Amino acid sequence: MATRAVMFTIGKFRCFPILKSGVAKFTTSSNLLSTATFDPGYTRDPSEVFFKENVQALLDRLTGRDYEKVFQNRKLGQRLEPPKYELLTQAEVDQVMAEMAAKLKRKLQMPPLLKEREPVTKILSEDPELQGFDNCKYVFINISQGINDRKREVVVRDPNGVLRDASWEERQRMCQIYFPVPGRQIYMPKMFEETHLQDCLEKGQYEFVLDRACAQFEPDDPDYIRVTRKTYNCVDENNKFSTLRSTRHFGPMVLHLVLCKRMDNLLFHFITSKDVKAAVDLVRLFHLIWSDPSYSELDEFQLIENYIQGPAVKKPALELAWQTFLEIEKQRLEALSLSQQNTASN
Amino acid sequence: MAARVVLSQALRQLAISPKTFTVSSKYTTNMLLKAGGGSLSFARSFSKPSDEVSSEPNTESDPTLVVDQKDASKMRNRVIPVEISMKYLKSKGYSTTYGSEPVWVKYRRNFKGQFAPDTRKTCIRQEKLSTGNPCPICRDEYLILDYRNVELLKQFISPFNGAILPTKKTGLCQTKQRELLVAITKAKDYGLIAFDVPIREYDYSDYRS
Repeated sequence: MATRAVMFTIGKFRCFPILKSGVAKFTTSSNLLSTATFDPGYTRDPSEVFFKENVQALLDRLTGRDYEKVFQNRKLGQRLEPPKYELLTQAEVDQVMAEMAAKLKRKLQMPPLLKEREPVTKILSEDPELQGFDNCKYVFINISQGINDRKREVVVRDPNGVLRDASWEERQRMCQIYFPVPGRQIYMPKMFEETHLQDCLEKGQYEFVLDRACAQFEPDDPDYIRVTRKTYNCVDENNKFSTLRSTRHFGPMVLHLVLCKRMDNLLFHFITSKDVKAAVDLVRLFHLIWSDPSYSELDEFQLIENYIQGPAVKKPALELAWQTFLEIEKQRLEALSLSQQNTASN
Repeated sequence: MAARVVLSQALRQLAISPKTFTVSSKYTTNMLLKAGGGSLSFARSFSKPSDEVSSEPNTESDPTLVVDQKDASKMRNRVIPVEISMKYLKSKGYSTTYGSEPVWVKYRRNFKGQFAPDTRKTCIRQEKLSTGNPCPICRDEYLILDYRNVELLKQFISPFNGAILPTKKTGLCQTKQRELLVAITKAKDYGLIAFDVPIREYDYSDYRS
């Protein structure tokens, strides 16, 4: 007779270290997934350009400011309350709007674009007389309050007697156990493995994947870089830029595409949706990063045309879109001038 | 009631006493499956009962059960694969039974007084339903709580704040609620259920070289 599958109580969904005389014990386990071969797109260090003020300003302008989207109710299991209605004077309204603008800026803070971190190699001491003290390594962490997790001391005593600084994975795992970050799991969720990641991206859940990656990884983690670059490339291939517009991920995505020199789809998207300002900002950003900034002094339309004639890869499609846009603009201006003449004569 | 009447008529035709008959697990399988969502299972479809109930006891190595006619529908010893459960959720039998509402909406608990106590520990003991009025998942054997059965799991997640609904609302027994928590956690881990993640803020000074 077939038996039912064995049920198990879930308990607490966290792994606690086994304490032995006050010291946490871990068996060697690999948390790292082999990063599948993928084309990084560029070897330049993005942090050189990401933190520049002019680049940040351009990316901020490109992201857009859709208040409805940014302040959407997030379903975090919180207790729901009915909305409050208040009667305010104009001055109070202005003050509230200013507060909201500051809050929006915080919500749209861009996750940094960095290069992969170097593995930790620092050895603190070698004591071969301690060899074979146990069959697993001992990990020690300084759990004082108020220390930045990136600077917290985490050291490992290997069974061969070497005392070294913990690797990045060991460090993150220990810090997550003692100082948990909300939204982060101790083991990497299976969602970030290749097959499942591909499934999520095919369903179009770009914002979910990116949000979860931000919560789960540090920005210089190789897994974070792999996941985010794959998502950005997917968005670019499928032309789904509007899903990420007005989110904190749009800026890093644009910078990634510009560094890869594959911003043509995005430029096409801006031109066809008649967002000239965004198109101009994008071309200015390109010139900031790849060539000298003197280009940015040119006229707007001239800038775009220069780009389409020059460094663009998908020239035919861009040409066509640009010409169509110019035509529509001309007709619109003619219609506007006609109506103005009519009202003047009347 | 209609199901029992129909079945007893069928058995009378085959000249078997309608009260008890010896049935092996193989035949419960046949009866429950081949009637297409079955006249004996909770999800009522309006198909005729199968004529293949044989009077001969099974001579194979499967141990036989002595099962009352009304107890056949209470057996929960079959392991049903998830794929069949997922198919069931899209079937006509499901939609006639539940419509477009979650499966727990029409379930009504029985208790004395105004305030419901905690739900029971389990509806299933020794591989059969051991209560009248079993919980919404136990009563329908084709509702399988598995991380792949996302359509079913989403019915137990609040559409307003993304929390898992408490048993006081859904009426699930404690074992099924635990299974549900496991399945939902697993589904979120695999990325099959999307959810809002708490926003993580950065201090740029940590990352500037």
